[in-house]
Amino acid sequence: MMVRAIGLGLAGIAALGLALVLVGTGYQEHALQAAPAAPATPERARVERALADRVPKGPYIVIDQARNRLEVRRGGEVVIEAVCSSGSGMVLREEGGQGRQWVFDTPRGQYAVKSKLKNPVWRKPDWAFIEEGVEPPADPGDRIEYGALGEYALYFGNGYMIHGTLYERLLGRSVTHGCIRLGRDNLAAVYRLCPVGTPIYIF
Amino acid sequence: MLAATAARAAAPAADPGTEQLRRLLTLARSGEFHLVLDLPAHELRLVLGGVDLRRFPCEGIAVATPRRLFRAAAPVADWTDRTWTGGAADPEPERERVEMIPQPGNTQAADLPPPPPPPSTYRIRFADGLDLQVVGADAPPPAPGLGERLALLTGRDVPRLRVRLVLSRTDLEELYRCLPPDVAFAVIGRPGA
Repeated sequence: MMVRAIGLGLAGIAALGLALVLVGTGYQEHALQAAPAAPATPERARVERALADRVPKGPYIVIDQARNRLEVRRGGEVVIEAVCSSGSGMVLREEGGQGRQWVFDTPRGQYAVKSKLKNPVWRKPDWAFIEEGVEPPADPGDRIEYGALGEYALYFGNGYMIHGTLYERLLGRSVTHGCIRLGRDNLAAVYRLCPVGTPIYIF
Repeated sequence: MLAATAARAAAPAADPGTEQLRRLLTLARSGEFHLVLDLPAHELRLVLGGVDLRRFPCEGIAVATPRRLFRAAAPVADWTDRTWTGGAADPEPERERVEMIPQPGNTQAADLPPPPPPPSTYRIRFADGLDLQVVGADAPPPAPGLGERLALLTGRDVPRLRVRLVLSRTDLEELYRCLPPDVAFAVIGRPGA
């Protein structure tokens, strides 16, 4: 009985000690206030200018995939703000054939408008047939589809474009094969404002 | 040669603020996504190529160091004077790839469920021991759990410095969703006394 009581007492002390140790363990916050800015120097001004020069002087496009928003900015001001649609992230595997696989992501990074098209014609790639359970046609003419891309397209490389859509009700959702879709009026405004060479930032 | 060396030795060291800007310039030229914490402006920015893509106003910024047995480590002196690399969200965003089943008039992308909601608090962990702890303005900051306290005791997998950023709930979620992998981090401004 006595031994048991001593045992319980020791266990209690050990538990109390461990609890104390754990209570004394964590994070200690330190006060943080921004110090006043250092006085300007010619060197500092030079580096600030070099940083400011990184921002495009003309219009540039910023695409936020998480919110499905596209902005055209100029001089730091947002001049067009539009709801868009970006890549769905779905995967398509080709049964048989070459066993190819496509991942429908919109790429992140820095791009530029490489070409602009009015009334673009969609030359449907193989995946557009395979996702519908159809063999890609041998005749290139059977790949042509009119109107699917809307009235304008801004091509930014590797098969990716900013273009229109027949499904405006889906704008704001991540449903595309990687391209950026815009509504009719916003697409026309972006097309007008952004010449070839316009930087595009996608995140 | 000797004269050039002497001239370099005699040149005054650039002020820390200019050095911070130089680091931002290097990051801007790298073409990689990075986060910039602007202490005077109280905001976190997602930047690419020198362009601010998104700004996340911080409702609070607090720096903390591990405390073991009631003794806190001193704040890491140079945390604002270096570039932190290899940043990744913890917990990692769940990205379940849904496979498309070929069918005529395929509309499966439109039927995808929305992504799972981001956690109510998370960390962006950088190599070399910096954690950005992102918490919502609408919730009390989480206390370290038993597992974290034990880790702190043993010193394993513990940051040397934790910077807590308090964001609005919307910004907290959007930062989590748009955080690029392997992101770098730098600071503008210096903490005062």
